[in-house]
Amino acid sequence: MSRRLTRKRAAISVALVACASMALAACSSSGGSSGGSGSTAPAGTSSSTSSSSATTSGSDIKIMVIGSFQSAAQSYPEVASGAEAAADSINAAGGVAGHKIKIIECNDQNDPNVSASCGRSAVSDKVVAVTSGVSNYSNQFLPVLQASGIPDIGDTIYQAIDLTSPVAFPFDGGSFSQFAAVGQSLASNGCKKVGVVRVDAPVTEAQAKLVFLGAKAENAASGPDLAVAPTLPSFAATVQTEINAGADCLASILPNANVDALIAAVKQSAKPDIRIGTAISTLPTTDLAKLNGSADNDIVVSPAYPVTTPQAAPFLADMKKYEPKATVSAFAVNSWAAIEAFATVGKTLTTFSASSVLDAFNKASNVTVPMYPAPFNFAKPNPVKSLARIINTSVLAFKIKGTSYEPLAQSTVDTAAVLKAYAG
Amino acid sequence: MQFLDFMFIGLGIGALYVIAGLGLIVVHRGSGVINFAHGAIGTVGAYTFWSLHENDHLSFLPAYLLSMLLCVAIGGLTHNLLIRPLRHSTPLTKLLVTLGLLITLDSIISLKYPQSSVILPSSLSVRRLVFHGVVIGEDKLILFGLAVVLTTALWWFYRYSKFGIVTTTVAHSPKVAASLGYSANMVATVNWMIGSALAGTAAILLAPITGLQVTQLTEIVIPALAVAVVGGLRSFPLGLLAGLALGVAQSEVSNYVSYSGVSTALPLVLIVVLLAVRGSSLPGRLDEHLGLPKVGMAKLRPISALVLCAIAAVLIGTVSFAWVDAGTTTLIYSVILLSIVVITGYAGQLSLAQFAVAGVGAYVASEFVSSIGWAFFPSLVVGVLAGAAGGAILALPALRTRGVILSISTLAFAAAVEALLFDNSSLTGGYAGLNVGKPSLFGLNIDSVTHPRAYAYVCLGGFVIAVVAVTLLRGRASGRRLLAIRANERAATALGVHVSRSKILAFTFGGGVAALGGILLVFRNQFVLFNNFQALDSVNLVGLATVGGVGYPSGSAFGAQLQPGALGTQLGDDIFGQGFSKWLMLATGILFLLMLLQSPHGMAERLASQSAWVRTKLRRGKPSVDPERDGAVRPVEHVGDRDRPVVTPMTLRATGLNVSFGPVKVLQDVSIIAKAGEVTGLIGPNGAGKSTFIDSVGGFVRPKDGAILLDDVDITAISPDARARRGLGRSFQSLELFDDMTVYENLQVASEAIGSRHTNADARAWLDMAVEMFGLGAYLDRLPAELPYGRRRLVAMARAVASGPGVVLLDEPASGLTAGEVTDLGIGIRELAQQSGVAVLLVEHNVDLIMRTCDRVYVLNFGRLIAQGSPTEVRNDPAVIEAYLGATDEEPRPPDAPSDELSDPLPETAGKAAHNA
Repeated sequence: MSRRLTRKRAAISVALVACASMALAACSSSGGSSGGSGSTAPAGTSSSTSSSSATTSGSDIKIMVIGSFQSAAQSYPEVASGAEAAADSINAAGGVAGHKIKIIECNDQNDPNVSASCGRSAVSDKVVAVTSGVSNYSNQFLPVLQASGIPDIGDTIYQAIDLTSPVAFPFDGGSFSQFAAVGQSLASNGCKKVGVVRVDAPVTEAQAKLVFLGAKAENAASGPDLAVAPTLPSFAATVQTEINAGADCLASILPNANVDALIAAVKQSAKPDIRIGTAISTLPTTDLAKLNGSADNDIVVSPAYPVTTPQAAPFLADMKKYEPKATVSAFAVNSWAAIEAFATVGKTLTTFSASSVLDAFNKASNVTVPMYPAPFNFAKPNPVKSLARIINTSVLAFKIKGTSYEPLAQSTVDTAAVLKAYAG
Repeated sequence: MQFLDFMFIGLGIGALYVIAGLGLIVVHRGSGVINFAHGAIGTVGAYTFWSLHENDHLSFLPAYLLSMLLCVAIGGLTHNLLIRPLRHSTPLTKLLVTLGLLITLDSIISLKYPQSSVILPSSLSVRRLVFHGVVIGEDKLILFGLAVVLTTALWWFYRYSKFGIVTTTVAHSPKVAASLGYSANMVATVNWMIGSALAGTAAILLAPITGLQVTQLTEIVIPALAVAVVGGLRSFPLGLLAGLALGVAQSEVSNYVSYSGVSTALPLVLIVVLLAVRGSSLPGRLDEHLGLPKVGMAKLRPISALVLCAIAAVLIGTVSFAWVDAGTTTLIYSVILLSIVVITGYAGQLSLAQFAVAGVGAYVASEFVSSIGWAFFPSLVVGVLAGAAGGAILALPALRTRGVILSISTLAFAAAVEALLFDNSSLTGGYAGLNVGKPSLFGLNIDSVTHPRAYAYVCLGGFVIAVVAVTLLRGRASGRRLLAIRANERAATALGVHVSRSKILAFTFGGGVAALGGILLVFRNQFVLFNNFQALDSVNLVGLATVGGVGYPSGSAFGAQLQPGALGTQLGDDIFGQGFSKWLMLATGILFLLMLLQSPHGMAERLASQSAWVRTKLRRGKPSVDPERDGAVRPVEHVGDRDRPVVTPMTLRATGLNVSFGPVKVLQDVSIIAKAGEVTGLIGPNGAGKSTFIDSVGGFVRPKDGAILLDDVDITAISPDARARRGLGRSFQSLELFDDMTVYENLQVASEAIGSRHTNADARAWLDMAVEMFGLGAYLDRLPAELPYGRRRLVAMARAVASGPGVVLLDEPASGLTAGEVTDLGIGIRELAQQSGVAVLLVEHNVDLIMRTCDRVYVLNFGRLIAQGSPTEVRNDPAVIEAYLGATDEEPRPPDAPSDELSDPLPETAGKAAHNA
C-alpha cells in the first residue's frame, strides 16, 4: 500500500476517532452550562421557565460573564452557571424594571489574548455590565472595559488593576483580604509562628506578605515563605523546611489540587499537628469528605457565607432549579451574587446602558448582596488609594470539622488595618 | 541530620519521577519516538480511575484494570493510527504528532471532566514512619520500592525475555528482525501499549500527591524526560539513578537555598550540562538525522509583498476592533514563529525554548521602560538585542548535542528560565507586574487598548521587517550554510563551514526575532506580567510552526492562526458562535494531527505546491521542474584553459598514524604522501582501514599517534572545518549531499566556505570548473533526490572540487558508475591534478581505475601498509597479490544505484578537455 494511501486511511481513522471522542466529551456527566447566551425568552413573551406568571416588557439587558470556564489549565464552568441561575430566577420574577437579563458568556480559555478579546466583545456586544470570576487576566480585559466605561460587578481580585480600576466593583478584598485574614486567624487561635507554602507566582508573593502582616497584627512571628513549583510532586521537603524553622502553623497559598497534598505531607511529617489556614475556595466542602478528617481543626476563611450555611438557601434553590448539573462552589456564589446585586441596583434605573449602570453603582450606598454578612457601600471607596476598590474588608473565619465549617470564636475578621499596612 | 532528612524525602520525590519516566524509555526503545503525550495518556488513566473508583464505587483492582485497558488502547491506537503511517516521515514529525496527541487528549479530558481539579485519595497507606529519627510517609516508601521493582523488572524483561531481545533487534535493524519473522509494527505497538500502561500507573500513583488536574500531570513530562534522557532513552537503571538524583537534588537545594526557583532550576541546568558533556562537537556517522520538513526558496517578491501589506493595512483600518485584536495576535505570534523557521527550519536545530527567549527580550525591554524610563522604541531595540544574546546562550548546548537530545536540553533551559526569571517576583515586579505605561512611537499614541489599530500597524511593521530579514537570510551565503548544517552537519563541516559559528548565528538571529515578538506581545498591556511565559508553550509553538510550514517564512502566518485569540479562532467564533471556544482546543489538536498526516511539510508547502501546479498549467511551452526554483541559478560560464583556476601547490603528509577504537587497532603506523599535481591511490580489501584513514585525515577521527601535515603545517589537532578552510577537500563514500538544496546550492556552499583562501572571482571559477568538469550544467536547479545515483555521485565530487582545494580526498568516487563513466572520471581526475595542480588522494575499490589514474599507489591491509609504489610495482607485489589482487575485480553495486540505467551518458566535456591538454 502506498505511503500516501496509508496516511490517508490513518487520517480518516483519526477523524472518526476524533468524532467519537467529541461525542464522549459532549456526554459529560458533570458538565456545567454549555456555551451560548442565557435562556431568556424573547421580549414581550412569557417566560417558559418561571413558575410565576410575571411578564416583562422592554429590550433585554445584556450582561457578560468573563472567566476561565473551560481550558486545560483551569475550568470553572460554574461561574457562568451561577450567573445564569441568578438571571433565570430574576427573569422568572419579572426581570429588572421590566427588562429581562440576557447573559453572554465569554470563556477566556485561560489565555491572555482571548481575555482581551472578551473585553472587546463586551464593547461590541454593547453589554451594560460584566461580571468576571476566576480569570487570571483582568490585566487584559479590564483596561478595555475601563476605556468604554463598562462596570465589572463582583470583579474578582487577581491583579493590581482590580484594586484601582474605577470600573471594578469587587464585593470583597479577594485573596488579599482572605490571606490577611488567614494570618490573623491563625495567630489569634494559638499559632506562634506562621510559615507560608505557596505556588511560585507573583500574586502569591503579595498574598504571603499579607499573611505575615496579619499574623504580626495578632502578635505571631513569621516563618519561612516557601515558593514551590506547580509541578512539585511532594510537599514533604517543604514541610520539613518549615518545621526546621520553627513554624507551628502554615498558610497554604496553593491551588485546590495541591492543598490536600500539603495536608497529607503535614500528617506524615515530624509535626503532624501543624495547623493549616487557607482560603475556602481551595478547600471546598466537596473535598472535605475525601480528606477523612485529616483537615479537622484547620482554618478556612471566606468572604461570603459558605454554601453549607443557612444563608446560602436562595443561592442553592436557584442553582437547583435552573442549573442542577452545575458545581456548587464559592465561584458560582460570586457570579450569582453579582447578578443579584445588579438587579438590586438596577431596579431604580429607567434606562439601561453601561454608563447608567456604572453611574448607579458609583452612587449605590446600601446594597444588600445575598450571602454577604453586611450591605455594601460602593459610593465610599477605600481610603487607601492603592486599594481603592476594596469597600468590604471583612472576612468570615471557620474551622473545619469533618465535612462542615464551624465559625471560629472570632468569626468575622476585619482586615482593614492589615491591608493598610500592606499598602504602606 | 537535616541532610539525611532531605535526602530521604528526595528519594521519595525522585521515585515519582522514575515511575513517570520509565514509560517514556519503553516507548522510545520500542519505536524510537519520544512521547510528549506520555503525561496526557497517564492523565486519562487517572481520571478514568477516579471516575470508576470514587464516583461509580468500583473497588481498586477492577477500576485500575479498566483504566489500564483504556491507556493500553490509547497506546495501541496511537501507534497504529499516528506513528505507523508516519514511519517514513521525519523524527520531528513523529515527535510533533505526540504533541498533537497531547493537545487532543488534554482537551478531551477537560471537556469530559470540567471540574478544575479533583482530590484523589491515596490508595496506598499514608502512615507516618520514623526510621532513626527520620520521618517519612509510608506511601513514599512504597513508591520508592515500586520504582526499584519496576526498574528491575523492566531491565530484566528487556534484556532477557524474547520480546525484549526482539525489541532491541527491531530498534537496531527492522529488516533483520523482519527476516527473522518478527513484525516491527507489532513489536512497536506492544511497546506503546506497555509504555502507556506505565503512564497510567504513574499518574494514578501521582495524582493523590499532585492532585488530579489536567495540566499538572501533563507537565510532569518535563522531569520525566530529564530522567529518560539521562538514561540515554534506553537504560532503566540509569533512569532510576537519574530520577532519584533529581529528586534528592531538588530536595537538598530547597533546604539550603531559598532564592526563588533555584531548587527547580538547578537540577535542570545540571542536566543540560551533563548532556553537553556527554555530547560531541562533531556528529558521528550514526548520529540521528532529525529529518526536517521541506524548505522553500524564500524568494522576495516585492510587488506581491506590497500588495499583501496594502490589503492588511486597509483591513486593519476598517474592520471591527475584535478583528483588529485578532489580527494583532496573529502578527505577533507569526513573528515568534519566524524565529522557529530560522532555527529549526533553516538550521535544523530543534529548539523548544523560543517562547522563553521571547520572554527574556520582553523582560529586558519592559525593565528599560519601567525602571530606567526609556521610550518604547529604544527599549524595543535593547530587548531584541537581549533576546539575541539569550539565543546565543541557548546555542551552547547545540554545539555538543543534536536532534531530540538537543530539544530536551532546550526544554530544560526554558523550564529553568521560567523558574528563575518569569516566576521570580522580585525581578518581574510582583503581582502588579512592570508598569510600562502606554507606549508611543515617534510621538504617536500606540496604546493597544485605546488605539488598537495603531498598535496593529506597529505589529504589521514588525512582522514585515522580520519576514524580510528571514527571507534575506535564506538567500545569502549564511543561510545556505545553515541549510547545509541542517541537511548534513558532517558534510558541512568537511566543506569548511564553521558549524559552531553558524549555529550560534542561527540561535542569535532567531533569538532576536523571537524577542521582537515577545516585546510586541507584552506591550499590549500597561502592566506586564511574565508568568505566562511557560516552558511547554514553546513546545506548542513548534507545533504551530510545523503545521504552518517550518521551512517557509509564510508558514509562520499560517501556523499562527491556530493560536487562541488569533484570526483563525476569531473566524471560528463568528461562524460557530460562542460555543466554538469550548471546542477550540480539541479542534486544534485534531487539525494538528490531520495536518501532520496529510501535509507534513506544512500548509505553506501545500500552498506553494498547488500554486506551482497552477502556474505550470498556465505556462505555455515546456513545464519547469519547479517554477519556484526558476531563475534561482545563475548561468555557469565556460571555463577555458586560460581561465582554469590553479591552486598553490600543497602536499599532504600523514606520518605514523595509529588509530584505535577501544582495544581494536584500526590503523597502525600508516604513512602516506599525496603530492601536488599528482594522483595518489589508496586501495585495500574491505575492513583494511581506508575509510578510517580518510576520516583521520579529514579530522573526524583523532589518531592516537602520528601526525597529519598539510604543506608542513601540522593539522592533526585542528577541526575538520578548519582543515577544509586550509585547503583540504573531500567527498564522501555515502555522498552526504545537502538534499534540501539544489545542485547549484550544494556547490555554492563549498565555494563560499573557503573564505579568504581565494578571491571571489577565483571561487566563482572553481565552481564553474566543477560544474563543467562533471557535466552538471543541465542539472543545477535540480534537487539531488531528482537525479539518478550516478549523477548524484558526480555532484558529490564536484562539490569537493568546487571549494578549490589544494588537496582533495575522493572516497570511492566510482562506486555505482558505469564503465564508461568510470573512464571519464579517471580522465577528469588526472586533469584536475595535472592542470590545476591539486593533490588528489583517491581511495577506491576499483583497481583498474586506480592503476590507470594514479601516479603512486599505497595498499592497506588490516590497518597496515603492505605496499607502496608505482601502479606497476604495486600490481606485481606478492604481498598485494596475496592479500588483494587475487580477489575478483567485480565491485558490488550499492543497492540503490541504478548502474547502467543512467538516463544520460557522461558528457564528453571532461574527456575532450583531457584530450586537448
